[in-house]
Amino acid sequence: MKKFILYIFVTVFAYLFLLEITTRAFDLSGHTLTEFNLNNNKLLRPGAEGVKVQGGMREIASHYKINQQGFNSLKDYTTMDDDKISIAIIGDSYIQGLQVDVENSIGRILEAETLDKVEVHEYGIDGMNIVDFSSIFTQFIKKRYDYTFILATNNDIASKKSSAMGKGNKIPKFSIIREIYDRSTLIRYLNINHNLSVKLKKVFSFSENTGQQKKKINTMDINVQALEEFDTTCAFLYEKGKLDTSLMLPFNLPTIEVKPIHTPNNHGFDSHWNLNGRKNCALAIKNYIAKSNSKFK
Amino acid sequence: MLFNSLDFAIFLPIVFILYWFVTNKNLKLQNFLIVAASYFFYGCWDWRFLSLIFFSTLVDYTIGLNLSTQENQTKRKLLLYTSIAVNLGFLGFFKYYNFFLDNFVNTFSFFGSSINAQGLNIILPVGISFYTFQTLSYTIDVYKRNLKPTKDFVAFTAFVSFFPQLVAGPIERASNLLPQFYTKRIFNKENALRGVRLILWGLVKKVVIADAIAPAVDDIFSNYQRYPSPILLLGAFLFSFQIYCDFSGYSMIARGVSKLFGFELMTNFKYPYFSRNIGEFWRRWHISLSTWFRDYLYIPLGGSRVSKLINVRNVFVIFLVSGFWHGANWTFIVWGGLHALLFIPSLLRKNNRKYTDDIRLNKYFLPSTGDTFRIFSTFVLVSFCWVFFRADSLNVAILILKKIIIFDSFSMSFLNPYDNQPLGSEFIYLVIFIFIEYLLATKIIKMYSKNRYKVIIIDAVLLLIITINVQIGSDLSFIYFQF
Repeated sequence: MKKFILYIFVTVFAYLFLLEITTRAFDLSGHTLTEFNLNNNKLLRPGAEGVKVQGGMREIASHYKINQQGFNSLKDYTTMDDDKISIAIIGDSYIQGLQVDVENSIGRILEAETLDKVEVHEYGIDGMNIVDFSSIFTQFIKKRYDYTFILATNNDIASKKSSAMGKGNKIPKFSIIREIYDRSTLIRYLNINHNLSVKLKKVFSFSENTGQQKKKINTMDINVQALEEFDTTCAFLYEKGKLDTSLMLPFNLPTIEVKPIHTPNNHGFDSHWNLNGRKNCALAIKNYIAKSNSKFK
Repeated sequence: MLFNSLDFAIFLPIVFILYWFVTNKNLKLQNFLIVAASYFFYGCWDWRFLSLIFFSTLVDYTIGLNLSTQENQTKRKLLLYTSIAVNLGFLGFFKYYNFFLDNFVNTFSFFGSSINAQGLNIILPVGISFYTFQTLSYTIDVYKRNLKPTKDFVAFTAFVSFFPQLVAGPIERASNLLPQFYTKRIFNKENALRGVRLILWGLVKKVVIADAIAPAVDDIFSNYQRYPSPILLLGAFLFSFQIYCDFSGYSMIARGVSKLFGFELMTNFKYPYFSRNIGEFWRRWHISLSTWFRDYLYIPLGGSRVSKLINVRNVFVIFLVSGFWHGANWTFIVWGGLHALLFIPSLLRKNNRKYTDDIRLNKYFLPSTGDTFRIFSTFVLVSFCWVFFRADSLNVAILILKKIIIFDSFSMSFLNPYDNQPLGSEFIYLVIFIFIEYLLATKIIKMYSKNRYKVIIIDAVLLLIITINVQIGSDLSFIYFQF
């Protein structure tokens, strides 16, 4: 038995060693994106640039670039061209767009589609919800942009606690676990591609409820206070079945369906529709502006 | 709990440690641990169906004991029929109720009468076809006095619910597995190492081959109307490998896990795609089921020691029943019938048992031209039959086969066979896999090695390949769970 246990340990060690070498040699883990405290908001480290890798064999390898405001974008949001229609887009991971090259974000596609008649700034951070969206709107966007589009779901509008805005102080200055995570490509690989931390939590909690639960959202659940922050320049984008538009009626905020004109080019492990999802989103915005803005025509 | 899940990767070492370090001094306790672990393992799917397994166990245990004391032949028969009725009753209700009801209604509609009958929303308990057949084999063997009934209820419960093979076999005979629960298990390092290798190779088959080609197969069979003949042919061949790797992968893991606990399960697959005729294929494919049908159905019907006509009938019966065992759908019955049709010519020419030896190789490690042709043609025929097994309905299967046979196009889209996920690495892995299977089937290389460094390196590399190829976010369950 002793020899067998020794064999198990040596084999596991050899496996981990090989995995570390393989993930390094073939760059299967990509770079780490670090959270950063910007004006007490939990955003991304300004100036960071790299490749975000997902999938067991680099199925997704997308270039990202974090601007001075802490969002994934080629542009800094300090200046705006007055001759162009200014657009802000707020959302979570879909708008953050780490599944496609930053050069192919919704903003860049929209600018190309409109022959540069618009200037788009994207405010997307993974996991954000309506509390964050309204906070972003009041801090960065209100009265600066001609249009603001918010991509949201039922769960987003029912959230009561922010996930990133005002949470900058929650980022630990130094964490040994974070250091190990950043340095070990194999741990990153296992976490990104095999949801190691989520699975471990699930196994040890003996519960199925670690993932986001889908529940029916009704009028009582929605975050009225956050939704009331948005003004007439705003419109909500949604994917069919993911936002109950009747819930938005009392706020007099337009809702725009992102129609699946281009079919999703997802991988099994990622449901962001990737490049085609961005194209659909850009087209939905373009059509909306075309109908309401004479300058655009 | 799936063998290819993190839950199982945690469950297995815990049970292993408790088994060999905590309960190893007491056989009864060890068996009890197996029962507890097995019930937990099964309960992770649906704890409600544990009562079904327990009831089946209780019935067969009691009937087994009664059969040993009962001398009156009529009463013995009655006991046997009770066991068959209970076990097949469960199977019939959970698996076939809606099928029979639909066909009953359709038949009446055909003759102009309409019946209003509503199907039930029945969940099929995982593994019911497997453990039902296993317990039935016990009662039949005891009835035939081929086996002494057990008085040890815990050992019997462990035999019925033994977690490595509970949900998808191999369907073990009581005469092979049950006695292993009576004897003290002694840890054998070599055996355990073989077990680990079987688990890893089984996972490679499942994760690297079966799961990787599954999206292509699903896409081709769902959108058969828009694909040209070469792609449909490719779909049929790919499904042949998918089902083989999925099911034989599971069986290997089951055998490997059993070895870790000191048990020996039967080999369920012996490189079936290197068979030289259909008879040989069925001696190499799902061996535990085909031998079950041979011993408990074919032979009682008279087997081959009857007239040619009755023999042909018997062959049809076992193949049709075998097809129906797989699922409540006409596609499975036709699949079984087709295999019977392919088998009967060799039966009539008395060469159905011609190929019982290994493939002989020439000095270039290749089979003869004749054998190569026979292997290839058997594979093609088996793949054509698989179309019925995989298709949603008979109509779909016929349309696919019709399209393949007409061969409407020589489209080069073979290189990029389906829209969303072009085949790339999957093909490379498949070719490598077939090559390794060939080396193993022809015994050019061996599954196990005695060199400890080789063992560690190969096992670590296999683990690495599994990790990198896991199809994240896909449905990872085994095909045979639905049966």
